[in-house]
Amino acid sequence: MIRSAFLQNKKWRLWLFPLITLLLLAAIYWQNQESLNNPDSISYTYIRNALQGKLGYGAVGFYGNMIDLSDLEPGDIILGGYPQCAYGRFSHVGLYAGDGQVIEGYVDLGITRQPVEHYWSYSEVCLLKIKAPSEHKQAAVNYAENHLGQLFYPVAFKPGERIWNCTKIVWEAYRQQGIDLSTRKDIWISPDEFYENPHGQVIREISLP
Amino acid sequence: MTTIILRLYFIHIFGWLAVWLAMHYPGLDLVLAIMYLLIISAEIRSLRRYAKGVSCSSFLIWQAPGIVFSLISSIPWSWWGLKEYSFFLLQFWYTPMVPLLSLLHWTIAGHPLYYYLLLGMPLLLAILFALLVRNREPVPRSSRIRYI
Repeated sequence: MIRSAFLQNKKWRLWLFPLITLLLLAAIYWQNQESLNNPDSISYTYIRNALQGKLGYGAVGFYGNMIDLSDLEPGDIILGGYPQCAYGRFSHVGLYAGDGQVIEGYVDLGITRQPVEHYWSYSEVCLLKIKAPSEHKQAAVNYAENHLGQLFYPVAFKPGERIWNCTKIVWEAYRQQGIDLSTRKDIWISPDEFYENPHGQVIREISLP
Repeated sequence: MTTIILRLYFIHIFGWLAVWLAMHYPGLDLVLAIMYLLIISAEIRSLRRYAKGVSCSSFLIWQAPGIVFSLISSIPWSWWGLKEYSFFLLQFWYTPMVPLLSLLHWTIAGHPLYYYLLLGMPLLLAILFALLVRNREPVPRSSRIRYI
């Protein structure tokens, strides 16, 4: 009865979502004032880059970095990026699962398993080893595998285990093992954070001009 | 007709923002996604009192971005990543549905089920529209002309 009366009210139908939007904006800002006021936060980085004309992944193509992938172990992280990328140096992350396979997220594939060789297409590539016992790394891989097929949304917030992006699935997989790969206390997480994180150790990297 | 279209866009864009922000509070996004569906259904139902041409045109113009992004995403080839960016935009456009789609974990022929549902979302909404506007609004008994 109440629901039906509410739905029949044209004014309510029009103004409900603007009202909720304002309340949510206020709540998120109040909870994350520190990060949202920080000029180095991911939100400001995206806005700054967009103003410089850097949008999305950047100049996508096959750059053929041919980085040596032979000594990757399950739980290692692979970062990839194209020139003019809006998110920083890297735009994509994958979690090496062993047997030449990497677990990663794509908008049209969701959380998926793909051959690792496609990282040769990036102009920026970095292999990272996480300083953790191998059982923790395997547990991180298992966590990511348990989420195969789940939904990818590019601007997924940190909380929740239903909506992912390529960075969040790797971050959460390690966070479940007590390893936080996010250096900034931001509402989002970006691939560059993994590169800067003290838990990570660069195995090798290539930056093509 | 302009008012109807503006109203649909206004509700959709703020529904988009509200549902996206609600993803920061997992669970609330699902509540708002259901609320969006109920509100949009009520809006579509209210179109019954207009002529068929007006209600159909309003629906098509409201769904035009979704239809265009879905068509570009469905073509078998891609120029300069146009197809990939188009699917991104398709998903953004249907953000109010994303929390509900996130409940589906099945994969079919290499793509998750949500991929197919997003591609077909303009069609699914068109079916919803057709079902909701099918019956014309009944004329109240008191206003019927009585022939004596």
